[in-house]
Amino acid sequence: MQRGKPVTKMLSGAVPKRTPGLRVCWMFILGVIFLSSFGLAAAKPKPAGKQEAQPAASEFVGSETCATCHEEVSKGFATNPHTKMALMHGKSGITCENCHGAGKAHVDGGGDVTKIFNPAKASPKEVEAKCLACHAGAHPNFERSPHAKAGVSCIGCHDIHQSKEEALLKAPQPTLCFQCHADQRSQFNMPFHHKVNEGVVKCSDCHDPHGTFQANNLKTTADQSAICTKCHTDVRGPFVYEHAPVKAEGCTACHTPHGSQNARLLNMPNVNVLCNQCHSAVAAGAVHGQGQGSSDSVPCTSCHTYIHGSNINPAFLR
Amino acid sequence: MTFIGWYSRLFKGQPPSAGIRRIAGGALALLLMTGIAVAQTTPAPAIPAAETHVTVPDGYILHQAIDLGGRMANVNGSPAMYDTLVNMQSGPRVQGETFQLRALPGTKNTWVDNLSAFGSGFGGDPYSFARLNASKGKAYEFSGIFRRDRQYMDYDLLGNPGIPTGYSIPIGSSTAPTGSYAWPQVNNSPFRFNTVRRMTDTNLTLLPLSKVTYRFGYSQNVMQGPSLTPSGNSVAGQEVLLQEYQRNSTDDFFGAFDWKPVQRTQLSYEEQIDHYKGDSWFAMAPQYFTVQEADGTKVALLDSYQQFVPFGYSTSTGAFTASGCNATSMNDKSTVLQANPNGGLPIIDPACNVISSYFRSQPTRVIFPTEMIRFQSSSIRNVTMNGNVRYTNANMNLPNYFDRFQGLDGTIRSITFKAAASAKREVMAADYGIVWQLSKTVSLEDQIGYSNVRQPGTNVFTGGTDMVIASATGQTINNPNLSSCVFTTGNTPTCTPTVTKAPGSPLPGGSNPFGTPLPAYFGQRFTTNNATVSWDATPRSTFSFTWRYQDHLISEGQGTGPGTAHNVPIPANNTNSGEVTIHENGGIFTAALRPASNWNINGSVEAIYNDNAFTPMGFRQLRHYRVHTIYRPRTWATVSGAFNDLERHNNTNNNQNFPGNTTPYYGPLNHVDHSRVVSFGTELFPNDRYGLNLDYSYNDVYMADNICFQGAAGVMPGGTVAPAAATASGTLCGPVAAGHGSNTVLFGPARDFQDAPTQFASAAFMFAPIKKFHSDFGYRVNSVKGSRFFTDAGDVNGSLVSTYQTPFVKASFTVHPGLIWKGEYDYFGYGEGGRSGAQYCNANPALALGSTTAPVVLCSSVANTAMSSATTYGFTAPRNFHANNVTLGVHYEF
Repeated sequence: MQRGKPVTKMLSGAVPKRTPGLRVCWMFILGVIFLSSFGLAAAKPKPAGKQEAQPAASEFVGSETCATCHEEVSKGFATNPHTKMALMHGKSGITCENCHGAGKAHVDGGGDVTKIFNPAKASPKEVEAKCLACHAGAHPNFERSPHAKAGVSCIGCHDIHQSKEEALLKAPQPTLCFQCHADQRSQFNMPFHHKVNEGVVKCSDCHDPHGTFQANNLKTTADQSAICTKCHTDVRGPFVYEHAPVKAEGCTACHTPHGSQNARLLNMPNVNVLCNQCHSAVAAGAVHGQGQGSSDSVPCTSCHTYIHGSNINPAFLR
Repeated sequence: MTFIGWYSRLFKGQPPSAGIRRIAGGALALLLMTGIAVAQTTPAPAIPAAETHVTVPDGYILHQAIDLGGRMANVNGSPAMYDTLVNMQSGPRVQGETFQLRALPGTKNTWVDNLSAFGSGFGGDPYSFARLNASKGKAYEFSGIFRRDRQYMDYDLLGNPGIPTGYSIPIGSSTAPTGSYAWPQVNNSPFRFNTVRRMTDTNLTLLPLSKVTYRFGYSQNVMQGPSLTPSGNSVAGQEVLLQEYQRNSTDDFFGAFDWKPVQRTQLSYEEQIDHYKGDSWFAMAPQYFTVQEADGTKVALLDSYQQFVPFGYSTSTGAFTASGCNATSMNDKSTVLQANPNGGLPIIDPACNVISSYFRSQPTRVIFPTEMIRFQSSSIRNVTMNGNVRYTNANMNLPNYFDRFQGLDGTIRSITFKAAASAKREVMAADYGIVWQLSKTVSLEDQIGYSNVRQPGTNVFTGGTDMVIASATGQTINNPNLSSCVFTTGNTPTCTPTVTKAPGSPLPGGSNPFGTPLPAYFGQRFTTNNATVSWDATPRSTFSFTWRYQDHLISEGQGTGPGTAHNVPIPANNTNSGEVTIHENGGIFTAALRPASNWNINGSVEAIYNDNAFTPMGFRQLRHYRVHTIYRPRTWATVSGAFNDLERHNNTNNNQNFPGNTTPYYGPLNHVDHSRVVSFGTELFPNDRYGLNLDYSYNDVYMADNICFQGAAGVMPGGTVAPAAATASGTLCGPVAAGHGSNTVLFGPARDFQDAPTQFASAAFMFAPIKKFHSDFGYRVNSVKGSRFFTDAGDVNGSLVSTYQTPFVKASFTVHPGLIWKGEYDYFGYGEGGRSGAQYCNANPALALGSTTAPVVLCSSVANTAMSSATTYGFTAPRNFHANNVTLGVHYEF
């Protein structure tokens, strides 16, 4: 089958194998680009950000001067990813004036706070602009993210000067996230919950706080399926017989991901009353109102064991 | 440096130690060896660290710490429930270890500037964690993380095992038994899990600050272990309890490069290949073998494992019919079981239907290659944009499905069949987003998304064999006179020697005959646009409004054979094949305010309307209100609050509006769900000696739908109750359809609902009167007082009416710098309550809502006397436990 060609004609028979030629072609192109880019890297080793126009060199005082007054701030620079490069190798690296601007006027003014950029006093957009000047490549969606719209800037979560946490976070996950999202804390304390408090799963496993193209900062897998299937690989498919709502409405049609009063993070107390919501005579004739529900004393999933999708049986029996 | 790992996490409102992680040992060993290797490349004399054999290379600072200790756990009540929720057991533990190697400024000719590893959990706790980070200037950055999660789950979703305790069936003749055999109760949830998930993620970035950067990654996710699962009527058409041995894994390889051709512009190409391996296989659950044949072969009842009439013996009435046996072949029709003269399991008549073994394997492979091209640019003044294009062409292959039953099923001694399946997933997706800073205070942005998924697949049963007892009589498990009936095409077998064989018996319902493919198709396409205008009204306030539009096309052709018309609007009353289109329009208003430099408040109002829904519980109207605020009156004081209200409705008949559709629909669906959360929190840490952390949340979770549902005489506990058929009320319930047996009746209309008001509160105090002593103590409680609709008299509220509380006390004493003794006490208390099966075991002949003609099972008619409206439980006692855990440990830095 050719790439991009509609696959509807394949219904009448077995699925053919993919032509390997195109894959090889892609890999060849990748290899050529990979190798040639080494040359580019060697020819122009300076980072792109270095090309930006800077104030005159005489306007800068150096981080050592800053440290004379701001000793507490400079204490953690040895382990700070921003400054360690400059301290470690004495060359390319970010120091105080890369973010706060040239400091000569500030120093000459006896520490005049109006002569230096102070993120703590700046608007979220000003802070974002400063940080994204270097980090836009890593966080290209931030300006359109819910956090940006809510006025949560970089320094709301990151302690730029010093932190014991990874990525200079002010506090570890999920403590940091719960400071604002207090409404989610209780869900992770319900009897059944994803093990976020226990440290097995982090908020950032499913959400990218810097924004994504999805709602609620949700990540997706490479093939655009829900992030849930990165860990719950057995329900990712593709299945010959998909339980269509699983893919069309998502995992949250039946599960509450953060935490639930119900086992298996189900939206309803047991499987049967959950299934009856759709598989009811009330919905007979309506779109996907299949079946008429059941009051059987055994769970629906006792028979429909492959409820997320099956490769063998259209009724998900095996 | 004080890095006390598990202890510090506890104070942040987290359960006790994440345990000790085996992989951290490997990581530590690797690190130690790495450190030695680094030392060997450095000619300068090493600086020895105190109390360690590690040679510290010149120019480095080395720090190590380890936490050793153990836990004593005392559990009372339900151990299954404790393991499901807590699963912290007794034993010695390595509670954590830290290794940090950092080059001093100016150090030259090294392989690494920073190397750090942290591990937590060795020795048996359910969670393990290990992390390894390394970096070298502009050369590389490496990060690796390993997580291990043991999942124990033994919680019956219906809250009641099928066969209650206290029943027995006669040994010897039922008319003159010589003894009785206590029929074993299935105590485990039919969906028990005892699995382990191991997640590894590694990332390597080369030349991170260069014009061209290379990124590589490898991730592995493995889930394995035993679990229980019902057979799903797939074992000789019966439902037996199986044990599934799972091993599902993915290996994810990733390679990419980023090219920054001009300032503030980046192009990326990424290739990701995911390989999924599903190697689960099934066998009989060992605990299900409850009797034996005369030759000692352990066998199990071939019938529903949750039914109440094993071998025709009704546990509730005492009636015995031997219905599960071939009566004409029995030696004594009134005798099913004989006593075993050697002790052990009783011996069953060889003419009774049993299962002696079952095996199913379905090794599945899926490969997901994905190519991605991304770009990001803010090179144009006042404009930032980014986007991506992605293409995935995944292939699933199940070449050898194998299924075999052995035992006795009427005249059949064994059933074997094979199948093959394949499917594809082709995804073409693209996203683009742009922000234009129109003026100093106004910006416009737009975000476009497109995703098109096509997923065809097919399955075919490639062959099968039945071993059938050839003679008309002597239909017993030990009859050697067998015929082999082979299926190759269709459902009519060829038997050698010739016997009469009913067609189609081996295959479950819904499957095509042997040799005939049964294809299917699923696809969906999203086209989304979000357009936003933002206004910075003042330096302290920002308002934005987003208009959202989405077109969602869902296409399905489910098992209806060649020529499935999945690309036309779904026909009336056809729930299998066709297209459903949902157009979504909505608006989101967001406000972000900073009334003061130490007070932030933001909120949003979202309203969305869909002109259709895919399922009856899919929403047509959505309203979402959110407010978050955080106030820091002092540097040491934080007060926060949140309100989150999500409301969704669908009060239509959800029919398809297309020309010519005049089919009357039932309904309305009247779907309602909401999640309303109000929460407050405060943190007060005025100094290093004491602090306070308080949190409270109220969750109001509700979901309801109109339903009608099937039932049948005999499904009720006791098997003796035959509820009268309901009268369809109005147009809400449709006609009764055949389904679950000949005694099908239709119940309803009723309101299928769950109401789960939940309160959560936590308080944590920190007290450190002297520098050497530190303590934390607190209390957490989660309490649900919910209610629900019962469809089954044996059902219970379960966790919907439960209280889970976890008070704790922790203390540490610093003997001298780098040596800390620690102790911790945790209490875990969980209890369930509430009424059970209220509507069916009640004198009030009314369901929760709707018809008063609905059938009601009177309490007195239910065999199990425990089933009473006055009791707080059904057949299963509430799942309660409490546990006292003491954890001791020592933290040592060197």
